[in-house]
Amino acid sequence: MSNITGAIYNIRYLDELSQRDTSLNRVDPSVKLIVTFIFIITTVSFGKYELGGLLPMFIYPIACMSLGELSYKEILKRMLLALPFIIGIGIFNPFLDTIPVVLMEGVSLSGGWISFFSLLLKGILTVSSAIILIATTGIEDIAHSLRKLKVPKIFVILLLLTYRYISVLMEEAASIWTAYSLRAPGEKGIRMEIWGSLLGQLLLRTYDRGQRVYEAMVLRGFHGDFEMVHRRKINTKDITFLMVWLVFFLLFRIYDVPVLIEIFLQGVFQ
Amino acid sequence: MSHHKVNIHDLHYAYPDGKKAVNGITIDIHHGESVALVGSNGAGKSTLFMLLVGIFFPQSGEIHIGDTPVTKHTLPIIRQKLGFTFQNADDQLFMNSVYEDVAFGPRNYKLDEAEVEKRVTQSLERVGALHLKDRPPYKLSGGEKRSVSIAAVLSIDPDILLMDEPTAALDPKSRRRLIGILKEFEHTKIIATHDLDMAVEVCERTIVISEGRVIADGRTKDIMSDDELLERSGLERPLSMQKCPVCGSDKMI
Repeated sequence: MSNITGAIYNIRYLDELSQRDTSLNRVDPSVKLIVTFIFIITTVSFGKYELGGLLPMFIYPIACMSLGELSYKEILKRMLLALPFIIGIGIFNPFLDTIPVVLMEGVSLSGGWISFFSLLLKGILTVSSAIILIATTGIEDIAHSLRKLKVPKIFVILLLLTYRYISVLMEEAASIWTAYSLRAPGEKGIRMEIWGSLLGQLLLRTYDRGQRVYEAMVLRGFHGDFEMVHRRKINTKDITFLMVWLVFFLLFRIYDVPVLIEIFLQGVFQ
Repeated sequence: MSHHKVNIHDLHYAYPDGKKAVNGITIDIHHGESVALVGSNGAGKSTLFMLLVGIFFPQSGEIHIGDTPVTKHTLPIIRQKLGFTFQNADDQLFMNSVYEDVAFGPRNYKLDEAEVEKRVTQSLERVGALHLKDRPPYKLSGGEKRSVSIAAVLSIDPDILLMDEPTAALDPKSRRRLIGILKEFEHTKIIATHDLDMAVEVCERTIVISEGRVIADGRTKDIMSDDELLERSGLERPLSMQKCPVCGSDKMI
């Protein structure tokens, strides 16, 4: 399946991005982690009908993508993977909540649609900020920062190994798929009755391979903590990065910026 | 200096499903020896390695690495003495760059970063792979992966090298290069392999394992010319020691 192989490439792609040297990559990992975390909290704290208030929050991912020299297209592509889940969660809102809400003079929409859209926006914002964090920081540095922030070791290792094993799982899936399709020419997908044993195989193989990878780590002295190189001190740039975004998030959360702009523009044109 | 020796005494191991993989193996390997561990598939070579590094523990019998017994308690010490390269280099390389991968071991042993860098550079130089240091491991060729996986264990400065099929799946030139590298190491080496020609070149001693037992232990040249023994253990004379197929003359002593 070309898309499995493609997906492996995708995962590695984020890893490779995180090795580059851009202004965002240079920001201290802990600072980026905290900013991302606060961004996510702020985003989800908006009420379900506060569609307008969410819009200025897009400044953060857009600014980060340009600071981190990330391609919009690539980030968007990865974000789309999460979209079905978000839509799945929110899709019944329009049917359950039919009370109309007035958006502006003459335009009104049912409350369900508004809450659906705000859920969609929140999803897009939070997922893209997480992708940006991984693409500019790298999973090892994130893990290290989590440890510095006193997150229990067991959670950090779980996160790290899960991430590490995604590629193991996909590599195994790709080779099983290749083996299957070579001996089953002319089939579009995998036949229903094969799925059981195929998935079982995948699980067992991945389990074995995961075990070997873990053994390789243990044999080289791994004892639960990833030792990191980038033991750097937080500098003024990092603090500025942190402060600027905190102030921005706070402003956007307290004031409905689009409404303020509207009032301002009305003032100008009167 | 503790001697880099390995003593295995009457080792027994059966897998949880009841399959007996190791049936009373006793081996003594001395400081600086190069030993080839040969035997057919499923003879117990890999299991023996797993027991040596303490991934499995024997049901009975003892292993000493240097003067330290292999027990759960001594694993950190044991594992620093042993450098184990896997049959499949992919299982061994999991970081984002070659440098990070080779540095993984030394960092776990909490060396300071200057020392880590020194060790990484030395290890990579040793296997002729320094130019690969910034590349992601999964984009390397098979031979390059093998070299890097060896550098990754050299960087923890082991006394004893355990290698599971180091020449498997290498092209002739990479294999030749690897043999050259192995010959240069003064470590105590135990190499599990089906590549008997490599064994002839690299190891002065050979141990033949069959059904979890040692069935022969001696000078490589003696063992490799014992046709009856080789036949019995699912092996055959290395090519370099077979008669010339054209003229029928002996190629080696």
